[in-house]
Amino acid sequence: MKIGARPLLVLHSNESFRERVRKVAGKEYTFQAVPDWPSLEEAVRDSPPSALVVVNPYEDVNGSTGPSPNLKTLLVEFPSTAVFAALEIKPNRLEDLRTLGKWGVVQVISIAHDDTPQAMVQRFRAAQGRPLKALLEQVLPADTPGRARAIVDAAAEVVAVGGHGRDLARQLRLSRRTLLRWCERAELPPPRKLLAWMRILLAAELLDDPGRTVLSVAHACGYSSDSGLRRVTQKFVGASPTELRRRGAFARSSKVFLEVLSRYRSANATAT
Amino acid sequence: MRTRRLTPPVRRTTRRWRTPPAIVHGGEAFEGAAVLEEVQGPLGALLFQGIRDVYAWGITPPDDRAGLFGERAEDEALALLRAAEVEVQLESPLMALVRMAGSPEAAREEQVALACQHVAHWADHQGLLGTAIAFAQGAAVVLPSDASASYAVGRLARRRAEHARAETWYRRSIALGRQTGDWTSYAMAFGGLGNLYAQRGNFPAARRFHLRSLRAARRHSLRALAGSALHDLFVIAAETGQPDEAERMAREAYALYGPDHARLNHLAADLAYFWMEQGRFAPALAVFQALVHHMTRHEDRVTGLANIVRAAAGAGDRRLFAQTWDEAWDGVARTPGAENGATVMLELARGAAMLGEYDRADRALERALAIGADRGEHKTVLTAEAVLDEVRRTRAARQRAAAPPPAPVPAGEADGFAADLVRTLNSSLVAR
Repeated sequence: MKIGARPLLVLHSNESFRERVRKVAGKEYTFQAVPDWPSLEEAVRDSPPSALVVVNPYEDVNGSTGPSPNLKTLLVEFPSTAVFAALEIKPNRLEDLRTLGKWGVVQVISIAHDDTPQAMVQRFRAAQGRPLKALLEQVLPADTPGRARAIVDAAAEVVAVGGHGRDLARQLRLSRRTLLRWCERAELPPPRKLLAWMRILLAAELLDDPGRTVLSVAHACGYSSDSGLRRVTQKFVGASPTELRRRGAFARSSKVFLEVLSRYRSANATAT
Repeated sequence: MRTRRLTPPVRRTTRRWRTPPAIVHGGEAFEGAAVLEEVQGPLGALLFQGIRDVYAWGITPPDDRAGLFGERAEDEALALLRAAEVEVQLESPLMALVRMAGSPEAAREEQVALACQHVAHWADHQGLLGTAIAFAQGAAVVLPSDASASYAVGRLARRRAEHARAETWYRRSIALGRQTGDWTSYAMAFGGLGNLYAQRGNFPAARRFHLRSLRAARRHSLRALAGSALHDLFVIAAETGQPDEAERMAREAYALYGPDHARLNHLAADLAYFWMEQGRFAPALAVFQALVHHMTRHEDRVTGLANIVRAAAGAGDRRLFAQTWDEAWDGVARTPGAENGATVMLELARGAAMLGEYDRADRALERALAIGADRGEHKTVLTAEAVLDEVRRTRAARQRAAAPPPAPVPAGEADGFAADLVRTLNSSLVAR
């Protein structure tokens, strides 16, 4: 599974801010400014899971009535997308910020405060794979050891940008051998298998987006057609993408993933 | 004469260390969101912006920090600080964060971390646990090799029941403590992990961690910490039904704490309660009576009085039971929203039931059920229902057989230990 360059979609009427984002994009992201909400929705539909979206939450609305309902619609249609809200932070906007958090915005950029290139680079990196991580937090059992959670978190981040085993080791600042040992100790599958599972969960997360078709999910995950995605989901979860989507793709896939984890746990307990 | 070297040698190693990563976010949507949930107005905006600045500054390499924030960042933060009219104790740490936003290249890690720790301490004191965790974590991000900063995050996260996050920070603290020779944080982090596992109900793992804490504390001559580890081991032994082991641990903890230790009162209360649960009411009563004079908070005092009521009933002291009952009952009535109301009523009911005062027991249990249901304390409600059931069955059986209430269990060896504890508690009260 190969994921192409990371799109950075921007919907913001402040021209100087847009320019700063363009500079930050550099070679790592493909910068694309969009003129309005419908164009943004169109662009998000075909973008890979690694795409970042930066919006002005008050675009096209009067700021006194709260953030734009179009942003809410976008997040309902594409909950797996990492959306950044760029706005000026004032005491009378705290309620709006809370609303943005509830809607699923993953990060805030404070205009005229931390919208410098260095700060934005940090924020973009920190939000890597955030929607998938948030979903995983909800499904992992309460007694999952902290070390296992930290590795799973890192794996979700790596997969969101199309990374591999060596990237996971780099992310955790470990050698590949140490990573293998850590996975064993945390009662997790080996790194390659863990990453394969994370890719499945990522695809399942995208399948749950009402705004995406199965083909667009396959494209977003780096497959040239939906048959590639079908083969993988059949092998890991025992169902086709369409079936998965009907039954709740993430719920079903995460259930199978947790069963795999518990098998590793019991195998480890038997060995000791 | 040669002077004695008092500083322990610093352990140095050439081995490569791998510090486990810690979980830096809980259930919040984005960084700083926990602050937004807890603090309103200009102060909320200032703290939200401040903690985001600290995270961004902390993870940026020192050479890249110049120009990290906008040119107007300091002025805007200053305007917010003026509008917020913050408490005196917050002024200085918040000024340090404002200055950091103004000249990020000149700010020093220690100053920023100290400012974060002060804000975290203030927030914890105000009951704003999410804000406290955010700022404690800010300090740990800014000083990534400081074991005590990591330990502080773990402790706060455990109190907020964010178990996975707490575990990763404790483990990080252990690794950092080992690397830097900060044995206090090292031993405390093992203790924290032990408490975390005990909270989850995994007592064998909790015991292992407390033993490691104890060994580390002994190895590095940290008496108070060794006492604390033994205290925790006593609680685990008591919870897992090992009375002899529990009492041995309690004795050792008592010997290591000494008369002036801050946790001596907690040990005495835990031990007396343990004796009471075992049916050894006389020594428990003596300790509870000595302890109640040390309790300055109204709620603690009411809990102490309820324990005296139950122990007095168990020991057959009707006069003391009746005397203390009214005081404890009025104490709960005076603070209707108190968090210990249901448990106090439960203890009173257990005492009344032991003396065959079933009307009193019924009244107390009804109050316990009402308060427990109001506060969503399901465990207390379940226990109260079980006790109510037992009271009604015993009442019916007694009426049939007209039998006297059961006699108290003999105290045995506990008497001597209780006398020692009472003497220490009384002498420390005189010294104060």
